[in-house]
Amino acid sequence: MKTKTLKLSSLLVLLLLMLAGAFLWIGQGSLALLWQSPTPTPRPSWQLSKAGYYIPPDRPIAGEKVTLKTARSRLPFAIPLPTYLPGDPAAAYLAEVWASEAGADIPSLALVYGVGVTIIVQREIHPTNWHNLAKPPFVSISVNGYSGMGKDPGDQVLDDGRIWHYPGSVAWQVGDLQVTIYGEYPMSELLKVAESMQLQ
Amino acid sequence: MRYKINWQSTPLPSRSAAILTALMIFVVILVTLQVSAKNVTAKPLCDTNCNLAQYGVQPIARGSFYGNQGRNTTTDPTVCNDNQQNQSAFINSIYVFRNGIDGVELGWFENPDEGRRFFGVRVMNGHYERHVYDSASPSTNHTYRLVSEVVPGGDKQWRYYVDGSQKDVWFHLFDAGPEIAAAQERHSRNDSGQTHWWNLKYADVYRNFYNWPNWNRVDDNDPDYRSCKISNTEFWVKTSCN
Repeated sequence: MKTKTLKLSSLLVLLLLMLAGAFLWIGQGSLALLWQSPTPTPRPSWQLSKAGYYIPPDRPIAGEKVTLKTARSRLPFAIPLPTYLPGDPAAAYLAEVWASEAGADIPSLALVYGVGVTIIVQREIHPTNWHNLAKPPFVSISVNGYSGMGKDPGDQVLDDGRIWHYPGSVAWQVGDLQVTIYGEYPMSELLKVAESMQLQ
Repeated sequence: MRYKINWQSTPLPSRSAAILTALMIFVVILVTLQVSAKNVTAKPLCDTNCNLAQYGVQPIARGSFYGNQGRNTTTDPTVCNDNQQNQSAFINSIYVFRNGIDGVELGWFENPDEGRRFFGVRVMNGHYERHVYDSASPSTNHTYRLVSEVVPGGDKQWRYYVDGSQKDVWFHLFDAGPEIAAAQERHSRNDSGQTHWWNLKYADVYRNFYNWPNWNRVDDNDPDYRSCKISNTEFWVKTSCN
């Protein structure tokens, strides 16, 4: 009887100690990290850089967040939607649409996708000399026969020692529309997105 | 000599006690590690930790801009340096934004490493390039001007001027931006200094400069500083506008 009581009380003490350890672990946020769910609209990390350039983190263009229908009514060009997106198919949805005001001097559009791809379309009346711009880390590319430039995402060490992260990108121009696709994906994936868009 | 427990011959209470002791030691070690890890992260690096973050106050005008200009006084700000590889910076600059990612910037900064210097920046498709120019004396007034030019062949250039002297020419993707700004920026709440911008002008398509139109908004995430508007072309950034 004495032995049984000793065993039971020992097991109780052990259980209490294990519970204390588990609570500490939860208190550190470890459980929250394990169970963290993805955010519906991922924010690209490069919007929050501490380098000497202030980027408004929530505004991809000079304009307002609107519906796709409103954007169509505001802009003087057809909105080119991609038919291919990289990443998780479950997140391949159009999360945000941004458009400049109707009649803006520089009509602009931004499409933000759940997979972390942002597409910016802006009117650019002059042609672009991609050859002079495509210096490392940029390389010359071709999107459906139109010249442009792109790069993989990467980090650069600035001359004052700071680290600046830049996104992967693909940019090209068709007539007076310049399109840039941004995302934390290799350039080859962003090129597939670009080639799936029909610009008129 | 190594000790070994004979599990078969050891009486049950002793066996339970051994397992219990081992588990208790394990739990005690685990708890100690957790607590000490928590203490390490909670401890400040030093008494004057810079706590780097990005704070800015910048009036923004919207339209179609082929250039931006402003006049500003170099001050002698306090800039945090906690000797823990955390160096802050105090920055005054003008911008032409192409969108929320790309643009051009010109102004002066002060940080503990480089001192007080003029600088220019180009951000193109999110890639950042900065050039540092001459050193700047405190309590002196300077005019900063960014202006674009399209040259034959489709080259769109941005020219950077300080007091009429050209400091840089950079190729870019655009020659007109929908937004311009003039700003004070600091990278720690321990930085302190005020800013005076005036003679704010923009360039039209003919590169003629005119007074800034009405501000569309002020981007301000600085908990301690305010933009104090004097007119469309002049403002202060101070702790209080009174």
